Amino acid sequence: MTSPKVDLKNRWLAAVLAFLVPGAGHLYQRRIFKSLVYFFGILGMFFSGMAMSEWTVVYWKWEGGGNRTVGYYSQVLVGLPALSARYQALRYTQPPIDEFHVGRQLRGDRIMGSGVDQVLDARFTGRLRYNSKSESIAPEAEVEPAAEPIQDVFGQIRWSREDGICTGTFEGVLGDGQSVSLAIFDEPTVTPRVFAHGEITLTELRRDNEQLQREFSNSLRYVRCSVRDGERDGMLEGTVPRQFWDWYQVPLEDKALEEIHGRLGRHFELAQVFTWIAGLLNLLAIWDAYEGPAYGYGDEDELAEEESAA
Amino acid sequence: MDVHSTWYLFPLAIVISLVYSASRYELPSKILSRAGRMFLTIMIFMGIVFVVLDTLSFWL
Repeated sequence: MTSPKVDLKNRWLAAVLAFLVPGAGHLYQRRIFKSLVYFFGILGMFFSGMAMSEWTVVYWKWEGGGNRTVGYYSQVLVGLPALSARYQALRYTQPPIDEFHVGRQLRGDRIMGSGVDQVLDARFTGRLRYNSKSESIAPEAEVEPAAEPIQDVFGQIRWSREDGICTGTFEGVLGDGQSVSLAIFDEPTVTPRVFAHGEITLTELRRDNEQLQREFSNSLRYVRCSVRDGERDGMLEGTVPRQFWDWYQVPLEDKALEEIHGRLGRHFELAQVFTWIAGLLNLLAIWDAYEGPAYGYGDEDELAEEESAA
Repeated sequence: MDVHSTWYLFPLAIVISLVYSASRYELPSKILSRAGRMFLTIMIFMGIVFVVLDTLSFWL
């Protein structure tokens, strides 16, 4: 019902604004109180759900076998805060430039080959272990070589690819303060750049008696590469940062979804409910921006009483 | 700290009541009073459901 007391201005524009940002359409119509109610109520609920799920609950995935985020149709009614998931899905499914489709086939976990970033320059934190000399010089030797110690290391890792060959360097500091300069001489293994909640467990450089505890992260990427320091070869394994825009609302792989479900339990489902309801509530707000309040201005009872008294 | 999921009903009911009432009326005083009534209705209804389910599960 369109109330004559409410100036809806350009109702189409108001509805579009209300869709894009809850409360924006009402702000345009100068309905400030309702604008605040919609903005804080709907977005508060939406982002509370996001936070409860560790910012993983809103994404778009439409694959066979029932692997489809039907609930996104409700979440997207919140507008811009959820629309970015469609764009992220496009970025995510875009196959890497790879004539052998190696990166495409291994997508979902760690990738090698030309699916790896063409250029990387990032802060690395992880571990280094040199191969024992007999491993480096004569790997076929029958004598079991003494294992070199695993050392903590951090620094700057850089690589670039030209003509299909990956070359790079690592400049950093060992845990004991000794500086180290290494050359990367083989294909690195890394989780994809655009990825959400990837596994970062160190699988190769584990110390004796160290429990294998699987770790996942949005903001970190797993990296492993072979390195050379003069005569010695070795291995670097650790993580580099992932930019916010490379994980936010990116589709989750099944492995990541299982881990989140297992850890958060029903809180993940509650987070879904929060974001779904936020979207559905914005539908009411959009209609209110377009058509006005459904039951009227709100003073009809008082006016009727005044009239009857008169 | 693990919060029992029942507590999430409160913010959920508050926001649903406020937004729904805001979409029905224009006057802030009317919106708030209707939202308050709706919130109470939801709480009473959920309370009744809780008591019924709790009673039924008493003998389980």
